[in-house]
Amino acid sequence: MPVVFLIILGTGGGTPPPEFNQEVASIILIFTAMAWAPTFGVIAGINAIPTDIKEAAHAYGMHGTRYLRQIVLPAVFPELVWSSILAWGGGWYLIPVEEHLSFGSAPNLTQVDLPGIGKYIAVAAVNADLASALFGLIVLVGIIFAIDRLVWKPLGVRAEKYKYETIAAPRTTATRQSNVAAGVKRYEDRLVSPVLTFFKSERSYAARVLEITRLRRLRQLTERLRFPERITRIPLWGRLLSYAIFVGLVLLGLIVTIVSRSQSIASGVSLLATDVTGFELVAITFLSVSRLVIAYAVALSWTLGAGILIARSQRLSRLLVPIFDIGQSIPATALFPLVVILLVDPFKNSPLLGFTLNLASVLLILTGMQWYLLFNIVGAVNSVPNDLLEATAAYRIRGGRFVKEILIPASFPAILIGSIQAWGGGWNALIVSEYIGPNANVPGLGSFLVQATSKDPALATVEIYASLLVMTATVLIINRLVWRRLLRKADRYKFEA
Amino acid sequence: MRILGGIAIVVVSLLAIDAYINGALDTVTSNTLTPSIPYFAFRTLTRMTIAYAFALAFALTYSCPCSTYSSQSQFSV
Repeated sequence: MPVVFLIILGTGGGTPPPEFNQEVASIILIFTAMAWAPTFGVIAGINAIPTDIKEAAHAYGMHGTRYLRQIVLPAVFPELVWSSILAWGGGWYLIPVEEHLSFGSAPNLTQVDLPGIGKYIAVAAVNADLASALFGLIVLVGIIFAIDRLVWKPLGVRAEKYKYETIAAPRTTATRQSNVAAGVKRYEDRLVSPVLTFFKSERSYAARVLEITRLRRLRQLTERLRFPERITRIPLWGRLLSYAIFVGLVLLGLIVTIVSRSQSIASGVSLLATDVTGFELVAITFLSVSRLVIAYAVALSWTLGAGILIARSQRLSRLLVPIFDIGQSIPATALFPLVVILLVDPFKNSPLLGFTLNLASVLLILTGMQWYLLFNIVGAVNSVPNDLLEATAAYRIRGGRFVKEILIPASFPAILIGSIQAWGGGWNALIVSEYIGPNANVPGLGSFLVQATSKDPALATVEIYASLLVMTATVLIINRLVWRRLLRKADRYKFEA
Repeated sequence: MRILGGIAIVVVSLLAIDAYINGALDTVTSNTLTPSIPYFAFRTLTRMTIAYAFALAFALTYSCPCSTYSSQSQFSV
């Protein structure tokens, strides 16, 4: 975010940047929050195209734009609809930050103040005006609800036509479920546990037909599941290329942000050393990661319980899923006045202030993490094969044992996917959650990044770049040490005939 | 669900009336930005729609070559 502002708006200078630049910067930031959900949706949709359809298309000489128009676009349409809902949720989450932002310190303060609901909420939050913040939030929820009814619901119904199905799936509850939950379920079905879909649809067609098609379809579907193996199958040139791209981006960043503003990289590093030591950078990273771990643990605990309850009860699903749909779009910054009133102001002169600020930070990170886990778990639990459920009922496996031995292993791949997405959301939320205000912040990478923006321009660019590098390195280490290993383990927890 | 929704609307309406009578909404009505809310909504929606159009274009441009070249698909994962 600060890099975009550095490049598009320039640093400080006292005079506000042209409104066009402000708009461009804001749109780029919304784009970064939106882009990845549809991208992964489209990849999932493309991966789900059955091999026989691809072979038939190639046999009929369909290539290029014709293949794209007649095979790829219809195939990705359902994925695109649900992932677009998630993308818009991500966009809404950040609008108060994108429409009302100050950069630099007086007298070189750059103020980005764009007219919008986000600005209304952000200004109310800054002034601790709870009533106005809540009013802005109500308007926002109204807009989200109207878009859901007028755009996503009709598109969701239309998307049903574009699903590849060899058999008619039971649709008794499909229209009553939210688009997001239905979309996540489709995502689970296609990317994480497509085998489950096959088993689930068994009821609706003759067993003979299934016996004929099962082996061939299972082979295709299990191939799609093996994405951890696909990672290891990346050829050497591919790995080298990815490292080259990463190093290139780092160098580009160095040139754009540091070299252009100070004499050399060495002088940038020595400038950084005047304000922060390497040990301090590691320490604040550790603090931020600790907060993320706590928020993740809390999110996993409640979403696992709630996800299982929602997936097992239609009544709860109808009641809670629309509420969660709206909840995932509520910006963290809209909760600032509430956090200040409940956790900051009453403890201003109390030794408990440090604890309550950390608690506030963890709660705000939680708002950016929990929904990914919840929707993934709901999708996975919904996809447990009926024959397995019948078998567990016959063997009287119930209660805690049923959850521990059936539901958690069944949703393990989905929990992993949700966890990776949740950590991504958590890193996003970290920047707004560690720095609520000048007198209400906790030490961490997010607050270091925010505070860097108000320093001397040369120091600010070096500190912003250093914190982004540390953040990227931390994410890469966590990916390599945790998620990749767990993804390989997830291969054990799939249903196979 | 509908009954609960109706109850929620009634409760929120009653709370809003109570807040209005007791002056809790004074800050909202005296907020100089409040009359601009419809315009703000329009501007935010426009911004979101433009960003979404770019996100959609990016998603299709980045992902669709994967359908043609399997090596790119592996690389993207």
